[in-house]
Formats: sequence, structure tokens, C-alpha cells
Amino acid sequence: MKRFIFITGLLALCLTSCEDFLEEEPVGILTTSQFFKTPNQIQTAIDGAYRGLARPFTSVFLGLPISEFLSFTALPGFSTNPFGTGPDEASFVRLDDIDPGNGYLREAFNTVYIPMENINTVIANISETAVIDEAAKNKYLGQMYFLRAYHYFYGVKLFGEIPLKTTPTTSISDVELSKATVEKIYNQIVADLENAETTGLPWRDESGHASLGAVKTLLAKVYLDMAGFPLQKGAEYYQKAYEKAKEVIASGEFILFENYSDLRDPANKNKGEHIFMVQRQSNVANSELHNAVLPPAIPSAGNIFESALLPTIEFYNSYAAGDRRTEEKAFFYTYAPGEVTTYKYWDEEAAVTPPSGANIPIFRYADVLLMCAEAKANVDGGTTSEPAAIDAYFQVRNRAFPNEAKPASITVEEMLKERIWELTFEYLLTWFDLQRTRKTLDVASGEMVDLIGHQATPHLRAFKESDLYLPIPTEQVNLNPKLAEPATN
Amino acid sequence: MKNDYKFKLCLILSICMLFNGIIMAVPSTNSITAASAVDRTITGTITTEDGEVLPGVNILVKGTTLGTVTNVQGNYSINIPDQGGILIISSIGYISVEIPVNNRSVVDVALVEDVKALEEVVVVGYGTINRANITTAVSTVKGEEILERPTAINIAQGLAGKVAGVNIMTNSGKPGGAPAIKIRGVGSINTSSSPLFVIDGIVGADPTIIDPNIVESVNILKDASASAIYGARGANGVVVITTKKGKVGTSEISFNNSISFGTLQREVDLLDAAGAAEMFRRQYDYPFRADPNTPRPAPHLPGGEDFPRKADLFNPDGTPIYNTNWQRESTRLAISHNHSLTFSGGKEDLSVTANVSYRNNEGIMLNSYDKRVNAYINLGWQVKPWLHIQGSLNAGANQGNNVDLNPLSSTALRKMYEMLPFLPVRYPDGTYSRQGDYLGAEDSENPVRLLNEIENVVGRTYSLANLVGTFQLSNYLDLVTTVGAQTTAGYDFYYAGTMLRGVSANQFGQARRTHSNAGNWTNENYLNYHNNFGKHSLEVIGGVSWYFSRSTSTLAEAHNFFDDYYGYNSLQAGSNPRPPSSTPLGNQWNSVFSRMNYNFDNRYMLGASFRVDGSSRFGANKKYGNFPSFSAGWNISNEQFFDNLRGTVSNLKLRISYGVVGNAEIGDFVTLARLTTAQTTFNNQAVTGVTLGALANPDLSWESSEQFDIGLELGLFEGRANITLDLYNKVNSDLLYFKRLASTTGFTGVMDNIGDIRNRGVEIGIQTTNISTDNFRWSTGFNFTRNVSKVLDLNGDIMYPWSGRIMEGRPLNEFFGYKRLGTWNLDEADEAASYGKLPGDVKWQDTNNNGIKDLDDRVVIGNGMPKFEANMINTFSFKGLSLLIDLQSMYGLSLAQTTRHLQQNAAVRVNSYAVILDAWTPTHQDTEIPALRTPNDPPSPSEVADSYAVEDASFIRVRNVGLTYRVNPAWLSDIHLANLVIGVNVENALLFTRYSGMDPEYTSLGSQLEQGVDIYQYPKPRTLSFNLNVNF
Repeated sequence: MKRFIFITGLLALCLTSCEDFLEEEPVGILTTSQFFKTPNQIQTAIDGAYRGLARPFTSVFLGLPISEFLSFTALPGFSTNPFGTGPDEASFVRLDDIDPGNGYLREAFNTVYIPMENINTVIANISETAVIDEAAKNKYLGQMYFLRAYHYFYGVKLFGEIPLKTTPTTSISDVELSKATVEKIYNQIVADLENAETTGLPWRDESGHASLGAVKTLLAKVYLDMAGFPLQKGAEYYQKAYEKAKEVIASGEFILFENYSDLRDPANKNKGEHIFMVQRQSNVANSELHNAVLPPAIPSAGNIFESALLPTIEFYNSYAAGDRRTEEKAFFYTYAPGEVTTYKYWDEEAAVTPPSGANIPIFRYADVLLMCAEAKANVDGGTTSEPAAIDAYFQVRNRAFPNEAKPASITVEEMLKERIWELTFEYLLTWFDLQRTRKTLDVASGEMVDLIGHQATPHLRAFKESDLYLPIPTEQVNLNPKLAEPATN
Repeated sequence: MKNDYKFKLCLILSICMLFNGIIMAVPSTNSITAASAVDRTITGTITTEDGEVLPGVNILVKGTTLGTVTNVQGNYSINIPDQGGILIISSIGYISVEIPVNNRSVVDVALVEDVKALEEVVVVGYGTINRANITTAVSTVKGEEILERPTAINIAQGLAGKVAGVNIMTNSGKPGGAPAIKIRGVGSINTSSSPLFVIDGIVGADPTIIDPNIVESVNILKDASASAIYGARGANGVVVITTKKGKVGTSEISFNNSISFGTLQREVDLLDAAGAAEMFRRQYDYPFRADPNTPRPAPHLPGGEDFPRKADLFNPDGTPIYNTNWQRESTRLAISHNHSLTFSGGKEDLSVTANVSYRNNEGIMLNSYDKRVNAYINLGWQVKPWLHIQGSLNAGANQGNNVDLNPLSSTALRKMYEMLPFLPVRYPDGTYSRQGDYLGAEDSENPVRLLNEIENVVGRTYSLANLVGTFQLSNYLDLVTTVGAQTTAGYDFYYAGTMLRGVSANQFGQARRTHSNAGNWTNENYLNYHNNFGKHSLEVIGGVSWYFSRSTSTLAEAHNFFDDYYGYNSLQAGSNPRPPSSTPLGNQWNSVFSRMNYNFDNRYMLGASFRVDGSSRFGANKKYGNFPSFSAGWNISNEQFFDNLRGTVSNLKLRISYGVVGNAEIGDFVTLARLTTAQTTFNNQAVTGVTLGALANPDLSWESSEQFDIGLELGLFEGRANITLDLYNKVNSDLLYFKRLASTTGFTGVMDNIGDIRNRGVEIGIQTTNISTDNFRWSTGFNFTRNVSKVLDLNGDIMYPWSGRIMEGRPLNEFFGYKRLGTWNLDEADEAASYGKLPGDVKWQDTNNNGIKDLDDRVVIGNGMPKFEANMINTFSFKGLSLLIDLQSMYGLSLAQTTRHLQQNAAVRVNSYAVILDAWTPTHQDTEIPALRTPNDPPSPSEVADSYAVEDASFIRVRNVGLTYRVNPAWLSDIHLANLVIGVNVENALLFTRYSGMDPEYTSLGSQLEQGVDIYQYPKPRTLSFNLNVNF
């Protein structure tokens, strides 16, 4: 009989602690409920919130990089990509009516809201926390307000009316958000940036976090935008933009680099002319930009991508003779007779030892100077002789044409042209200008013309009003039918 | 949930009490009375009809307990009472006979083989069942059938084509063949569709560690009623593997050896050197180039642009010096040898099988191999009259050198197709050629160099141990307790040298080591009650099961080596250490199961099973799932009214079954809210950032599969023909699916149980003995499978796998893309221009006629799974000679021939298929191939999903031809051999297909949803093997 005691014991053992047995022990994975409990955790959440900035420059379609960047950079019609990634991108290059099913729209829409959820979650959590002091908390909040404004700015510029959401998602069934009006989104952006101005951020942050310089640059940009289309708030906002840009200039923290190649110098990351950048590093968070904008004909180590960002030859020829920006290896590079490629993202190191660790510029000082000049010219009715504005413009102009004399007055049109020549192929900057001014450069005549009705060289047709905003992606409308309705408030 | 728990606890407690109660009731002694009167000795030999000696045959004197078994030579000796008696002679697989001894002292008997496979015992979940009385769809493959293909190194390879309803695609030419098993179609999107493997009762064991030599039988549980006893893990069908056990009364040594020679099965039709030179000449001669009036000779031609290697590669007139066949240069004669030594036998209460095997398989790609050493022992011990122990241990190690399979990087496989043929493997000075040696060509290393200089050694050590105790509590009740454990320690080492451009030169050498460890244990306890009441027969089992699994892996990597000396062996020698990573995983299961089989008079059968599965993987709100099944069978041929028909129809059975099973391969921790860490940058330094990763879903749980099966089994002409027909309807629902969420939530979606996929099909299996005479026997095994899948619900989404589309109302594995109409002609220039095209560019169908090429122009262009599949094995034997011919066919499948498609790009900078010379020219406009041009000319964009790239790939293959000769045993007895068989096999002997690629049975991507995508296929070998099997 005793021999069965063993069996009985075994069975009894098997019956203990059934419920514990099926508990999961995810020791390698953090769950949300465990987070925001220590200063270090908060710091990593802040740093994590910046990851969304890189999204347009990292999305990969079948081994072809940064399709979103390439597609949207083609919108103004100054470039082509003969090695394009397929019909989704080609639609942008030749200006089709963009199909709401286009894959890059989907990515662009997600690029607004996926980072937003992180930002809103961080704001909600650190607003309440007591594990860090008020000064630190304010600086963190300032950065998050800036990032929220940044993502909404890109959202409202690309899509127009979109939902406005400033709190974290609490339930996955709570998805039916209505669109907000463009004005309401701008108001939120301005409120966030004005808040951020007061949080004690330093003028410059060489680590790459958002600084007061970045906050005020974006605010100047937003004011300039609100002055133009579609809100057309006019002179009052041109004046605000002018003053905000002047604040950045007056800080004395930022200077123009002497040479265009300094913009690409890795030693200058977050320094000098650079106000805000997407932080990259070759080891763990590299940049695909160097390779992705190069035609395959250019030898660069590790270049396996068949894509390129090539200015049209007509656009290249629109630069005046002697413009230093068209000097070889300044903004452009002639890789074959009559064939020019953009050189803004060339990374000397990566050409030898890839991958590229170059930062991606978002805002630079030349942009601020030209905003300052343009805003003042607008305030003054189209032409200004205000020395501060002329000085700002002349700094940028002088770098391109060292022998040209300082003008006595400047016009809005001159400023817009200068912006195109200076800022072209920097992510969406030129398109956003075209959108707010509804003017573009006619590369044939060298004059600014109305955007609507103008046909750019690589395009199959002229711009229409419906091209000013991208459609909300089909998928998102299916998931949230309210996106099909116009904004109500 | 609480109720579930209570229910389970009650059940466990009652089972436990039942055990105790019964255990108490068992008498503590148990004696067998031995007969005493012994007067004379009878001897004799038991053979088959063919005269082959039969060891292990039971001899019993009727009415007594006197008995013995025959030895290896088939001889026996038994003492019987003086008055004589009747000998009962029985052996599994033979018809038992009763022979009166009379006055004889020598009784030789030839046993007749029991051709009625109906007597066969089928191993099902937690027990066995007589084939005649089975009510579910279960197919059996014997161990020797798996060994028909002597170079099969895993069980799946050996099973291919053997069972109706089981699709096994050999999806690679590498050693082992990367087979994918699909039982009755694919029913899942995001979880595995591989079946559950049960090895000697261990649920979820890894079949790749079982050497085919030690397999006794494989039973495939196809319908839901058969697999429902495995509950939440049975939805893809269950493969039950039983390993060999020793037989009491025998002692046998068997030694199996084979040596094989593999060669490239076939070459694809690529351009030779002259052809490639011509291709480039025409590219540079593109008529719509910027300046068409100025000649533009290709670089290799007189007047063409100069480049450093020009004089080394081309004669002054532009003709190539070298003509390299890269397919041949990259492959080799692969010589493999396999040895397996088995000791098997048993005495009185003990039986044992022990096996050691060694395999060394070379792949046909240079330097690829797979080696394995394995040891196995299985011990059976009748410890006490009431206790039987079966213990087994399988342990071993394997190691292989892999060829990089990533289809989208510059791998050796890719370069084998793409390398330009006018380049030599090496120049006279010994340096390897590089494709960039030709001006304008895509710069990459040559495949021979890649194969020689990239090492990727993958291997593991493993063990599987199992102990089964069967307590005979009474004549009607057994308690079975199983304890099993598995461990695996794996490694994956990679090194690519400092000089390999496009691979590791940028990193100055790249070394990577991954180590993984996995272990699990399982414990199962169940009671088995079986009894007969007159014509009623009943078997009931019930039990509990526990399973605990943990695994972890660690990856370390370094770049920038000053020398290739260290390979992957010394990561610290690299000056650029990469971020390491590690992953812990784990899951636990707790289940309660029961099954009942009832049969009345071998005419009416009923079966039912029920399992409750709890798993840590399931969401907090859904910890336990219930999986019931029912089945019924009617042996019509056992009815009285059938008596007159039995001469023709020896067996007729109808069975139906219904069951619900689950697929729990949803992954570990998927139900929890998770944060993601990733490296970001500040201060130009890596900084860890945390972002939101995934939403929690406490309702997430198993996928559920509901299946109805109706089967007919028909035996004709005294079992000379056996036909099995099954029809099934299987609906998988609650699929693990990434449910899209509006991204304003901050998440693109959440894992949820959504969607339905249906698979319907018909399976026919036919076994016939066409001719059976004293000396000659011809038998045929045939099977036919047709499975039709349909996506019933996918939350309204459409998914686009490679060249494909998955959407509601359509079958899975569908290819979907643009329909190529040809090329634009010169007189269509205006219309072409409206699409942004030039004459000579590809012309696609504007399906929606809106004047632009857009996504809505795409149409269905093929399907990667066959419309039907049929296999036939014919065996002819004449005396000791036996010929086996194994034919395989699949009809109505397509492949996305992406290899050819990528190589036929209009501005291709690599070698191409020979057919590219049919490209458009102004004087040859009627072609599907666009005009050749250089990358600087106006492009003709290509589409991944293009009807031109999707080819019909129906095929018939002579999969295996085997000739064996069994030496007459009578000749062998002097040299103490019981058996000697020599054989020769040709595997993958012949292939008939119109497919332009290497092999139509292939995928470069996932076999589940992307079957038939051919992107630089790993070529398959044709293998000639010589085999020698000896038994002592």
C-alpha cells in the first residue's frame, strides 16, 4: 500500500497553486503601470518623445529609404526622382491627384499622432509627479510643448483640418475624434509655444534637445503662417513674426556659417547656424539621407539604394550666375555632364565609412533671418527699407554673393525667391512657403507667380486649389468616419 | 473565470480522489500460475510466405501459460505436455494460426501477412485505437516509409507526399530542405500554421531533433475531432510521432549506411558572356537617349568609355575573354554520408532499443553543410505485474554552415544569378573578380568569394527525455503518468570579412554571435478505463496536464576588425562593439482533458472528447478555453445484410466528426501593455528613450477552429484495394489579428481576435495491391488533395504581402498586381505619353480606364498554392528485388518569378535571363520586354507585382526512384547475418514544368502567406545515393 503514497503525493503536488502557475512574468519588458516613477524614467520618456521627429526620414519601403521625405520634397515641383519607389511616390513627383490610399499619406498622418500620444502621455504624467523639482519639470514640459506644437504644425500644414487631442488615450474604443478647425489648431500651437517660452529653456541646447531658440523660431514661423493663407490674419501677425524673429536674432546665440559645407560638417551639430535638428549618430540611430538622395551613379560606400533627389535642370539654372550656392559641392554637385544632384545631405564620413551619423536640419538661422526680412516687408506693404530687415536679408544674400552691395530696400517677392533658393530640399520648408503665400517661382522667367494655375517642370498638370492640402488617408477615414466630416468648431 | 477555475479544481480533485480510491482497491500481490507438467520439446522455424525468417513471433500452447518467442533466426523451442496440444502462433501484422502438434517434434510455420491494414493500431492522443473502429480522420505513415528517401534528414522531408490533405512544400535546396507542413490549408494570418508535434506523448516537442531512423510510426490527426484532445494547440492538426521500442524475445543489430552525391538539379537559362555583352551594347544604343544621333558604344566596345579592367576582360574587338557559368561555379558535387546503428531486443520484463547515428550532409552551394550526431535509447521495463515503465532519451548535436538567404541584399545566392558571365572567378593574378569591374555594373562581390568568405555556422545541442509509468490498477483501469523534459542550447555565429564590398567592407568586418537556451518540462497524468460488456466496448480517459517553458537568447556583435583572423570567435578584437540584445520568453499551460470511445459490436462507434486549456499567454479575462469534439462511425460492412457483398466489398465504413480546436501560437506577453526602449541620440551619443509600444488587450486569446469532417473508408477484394475519402469544412475564427486603430489614439492598432478563414477540401487516399503472386508483387499508393481557402472576414482590411493581396471573399496566397499588356509601339507614342511613357516602355492594363496608372489597375494574377496535389508511389518487387517510383504533382499553382523579373529590369546593371535579348527595339516591337537602356536614360519603372513576373508553375516530379535488393537470407546465415539489403536511389530525379526558375516548389519568404515567391532561389540538388543495410 505504501508504494501508492508516492503517487498520491505527486498528484497532490500537482494541484498546488494553480492560479499562480498561469501568471506571466515579463521580466524583459516594461509595462506602462511601472513607469514614470523615478527621475531617470522620466528622462528616458522625455528622450523617447523626440523619436517621432525622425519618422519622415526613416520610413523604409522595400529597402528604399525615407520615401515620405522624398515624396513630399517633390511637391513644389523643383525636383525629380527617376529611381523612385513606385506609383505612390511618382504621384507626388508628377502631381497626380493624390489618392487617399497612398501609402505615404498614411505614414505622414501617423507621424503626427503616434509621437503625439507619447508627448501627451509624458505631459500628463510629469505634470503630476513629485519625484522631480519644479524647475526640472518646467524645462521638461517646455520641451514637450514645443514638440506638440511642432507635430501639430506639420499636421495642419499637410492636412489642414485634423483632430486636436492634448490628452492621452484612455480607451481603445474612444477613437471617433472630430476634426478641429485650422484656426483652433493654430491657437493650440501658439498656446503651447507661448507656454514653452516661459519654462526656462536655454537659448541654445547643444545636446540636441529643444531650446528657446527652437521655440521662438517655430513661433515666428507659425505667426508668419497665420498672417498668410488660409487664416490671412495679415499685418498684425506679420508684425508678430517680425518681432519674434528679431528676438532670435537679438539673442546673439546664432550665426551664419561662413561656408555652405560647414552646414554638413559633423563638428557643427547643434551649433552656429543650426537651431534645431533631428539627432542622428552613425552607431545606433543613423541617417539614410546621405544615400537616399544620391543617384546610383555617385560612388559612395554602402550605397545600395536606387533612389535620388535630383533638382530639375531648369530649377538649377534659375540660380543667378555667380551664386555661391551653385558652386560645386555647395548645395549641388554635377555628377555627370549636365546631371546635377542635391548635395545638402552629403556626408563625407559616410561616403567612406557608412552609415551616416549626420544630423538632419529642421530649423536654421538663415531661415530666421529671411523670415525677419520677409515679415517686415509685408508689414510695410511689400517693400521695406527698415535696416534691421535689410541687415537680416543681407547676411544670407552676402554669403551667396559676396561682391553684391547691400540694397537700400527689399521686396517680399525677393525674399520669397531667396527663401526658395536658400531652403530648397530642406524638408517641407519650401512647400510650406508656397502654401502660405500661394506663390511659386516660375523657373523659366525667374519671377514669382501664382501657385494655382502654374505648371512646374516635372508635373503633368498645373497646381489646383485642391493640391494645397493632402487628403486624409482612406484607412484613417475608415477607422474614424468622423474624419470625413468638416470641422465643426 | 472564477467559475472556470472552480470547475477545474473540482475535476482535478475528483480525478485525484478517484486515483486514491482505486489505488487502495488494488490487491497488493499479483501472481501468475505457471504450468508444471513438461514432457517433450518442440522446435521449428517461423517464416513469412516468402521464406523470410520472422523473429519475435509469439508461440503459446493453447489453454496453458506455456509460451516462447522466436529468436533472430526465426527459430523457437518450446516444451509442451506429453499429450500434445495446439500451438497458437501470432505476430503483429500476420494472421494468427492455431496448429495441432500431434506427434511432430518439428513444427515449421509460414505466417500469412495480414493484408487487412484494418487490424493496425493507430496512436492517437493519450492512447491507441484500432484502425477498424476509428471515427476520426487519422493517417498513418510507418517508419520504413519515411526511410524510403535515404537522404531525408528530418521527418517532414520523409512525410512529403505520403498523406492526403497534408501539403509539405520543400521550400529550399539547403540540407534539410526547409519543409513547410500545412494540414488542410492555412487558417491564420499572424500565428503559425504548423501542426502540433507530439513525440512519445510529449506535447509540443521539436520534431527536428528526431532522427528518421528511430521513428516507428507517424500518425497525423487531421480533423478537429482527432486533434481536439490537444485543445488550444490542435488547430493546425497534430502529428503524433512514436519512436521505436525493443521487442521482447528478439535481439537485433541493424546498421544502415548511405552515401549520396548531390548535383544541381537544373540550371536556369541565363545569358552567357556574349549574350551579356550584347545586352549592354543594346542598352547603350537606346534609341530615345538624350542625343540619339551621336553613337554611344557600350564600355566594352571599341570607342566605349575606358575602364581599368577592360583589357583583362575584353578583346580589342569587344568580344569577351571569359565565359563563366556562375551557377556551376557556385555549386558543387555534394557528397554526404549517413550511418545509423541500432541495437534492439528484449528479454522477459525488459525491452530496449538503442541507436546512434551520424549524418554529414553537404549542400550543393559551396561550403554549405549540415552535420548531426544523435543518440537514442528507449527502455521498457515491466517493473511489477502492475507497473510498466517506458523511458526514452534522445540527445545529440547538429551544426551547419548556412548560406545567407536574405533575398534583398547582395548575397551569394543572388549573385549566382546576377554575376556577369564575362567576369572570371579569379583573374590570373589570383584576385577575385567583382561585378563593378565592368564599368556601370552594380558593384558587388562575386558569389564564389561570398561563399568562401562568409561564415554562418548554426548549431545546437538538444535533449529530450521522457518517462512514462503505466500503473495497472485493475484489469479495466490504468493510470498513466508522464514526465518529459526538453532542452536546447543553440548558437548562430556569423562572420563576414573586412574586404567584402556591399556586405561587410563598410563595417571593416562584421562578427555576430547569438546564443539561445530553451527548456521545458511537462507532466501529464491520466486514467484509462476500458471494458467490454458483451457487445459493448468502452474506453474512457481523463487527466490533467502541466507544461512550463522558458527560453532566452543573447546577441552580441562587433564591427571593425583589423584582420579576418579571428572570424566570429573573438568579438573583443573588433573595435566597434554593437549594442547587445537579449530576450527572455516563457509560457505555462495547465489543462484538463477527457475522451470517450464507445463501440457496439464493431458496428456502431461513438467518440467524444473535451479539453479545458489554461495558458499564461491568454489575456486576464480569458484564461481558460473549452474544446469539445464529437465523432461517430458506422462499420456498414459488419452488418448482417452485408454478408453477401463481403467478397467484393470487404470493408465499408462511414464516419463523421465535428470539433473545436484552438491555435495558441499568439506569442508570449502579447496581452500586456508594453513600453519600448530604443536608442536615440543626444550629445552625439546613444541615449535610451522609452516610448509607448503596445496597448493591453486582456481579452486577447487563442484562435479558434471549427471543423466538420465526413469520411468514407472502403476496402475491396479482400483488402486488395483500400480507399479513404474525406471531405472537410474548416473555419478558423477569432484570428490573432492586428486590428487597426485610428492613429489619433497614438497606436496604429492592437492585437485582437478578429477574422475568419475557411478551408474546404477533399482528400482521397488509395492503397492497392495490383498484382500479388508468389514471386512478384506490385502495389500502388495514391493520394489526392484539393483544398480551397477563402477569407471570410478580415475586419474589412486588405493586406498586401509580396506581389499579393489578402482580402475578404478571396482565397489566400493570391498574387495581385498590374497586368502587363506588352510594350508601347512607336505608333502609340501619343497614348504612351499620356501615361508618361515612351515607345519601348512597359504597357500595363489601365483596368479602370481613367487614363493614369494607379493602384486600382491591379488584378488577380495567380495563386501560390496548387489547385490540387496528387502523389503516387508504385512499388514492384520480384523476389528480393524491389523498385519504388515516387511521383509528385501539383497543378494550378503560380510562382512570382521575382528572380527573373528583377534581372529583366529595362536598365539592368547585372546579368539577365537569356530571354531579355527579345527586348523591344524599333524593329522588334511585338514583345513584353521593354527597350534596354542605361540608368541615365528615361526610365521604364518596373512593378514588383506584374503579371509578366507571375508564372504558371504546375509540375510533375519524379521525386524518388529506389531500387533495392534483399539478399536471400539463406545465403547469409553462415556469416551470421540475418538480413542484407543494398539499394540505390535517385531523389528529385526528374522535373517536368514550364516554370522558368530553378524549381516550382519554393518560397523565399514566409510559406504561410507568401508561398511561391521566388527571389534568388536556393537551388535544389538531384541526389544519387547508395545504401547498405545490414541486420545481425
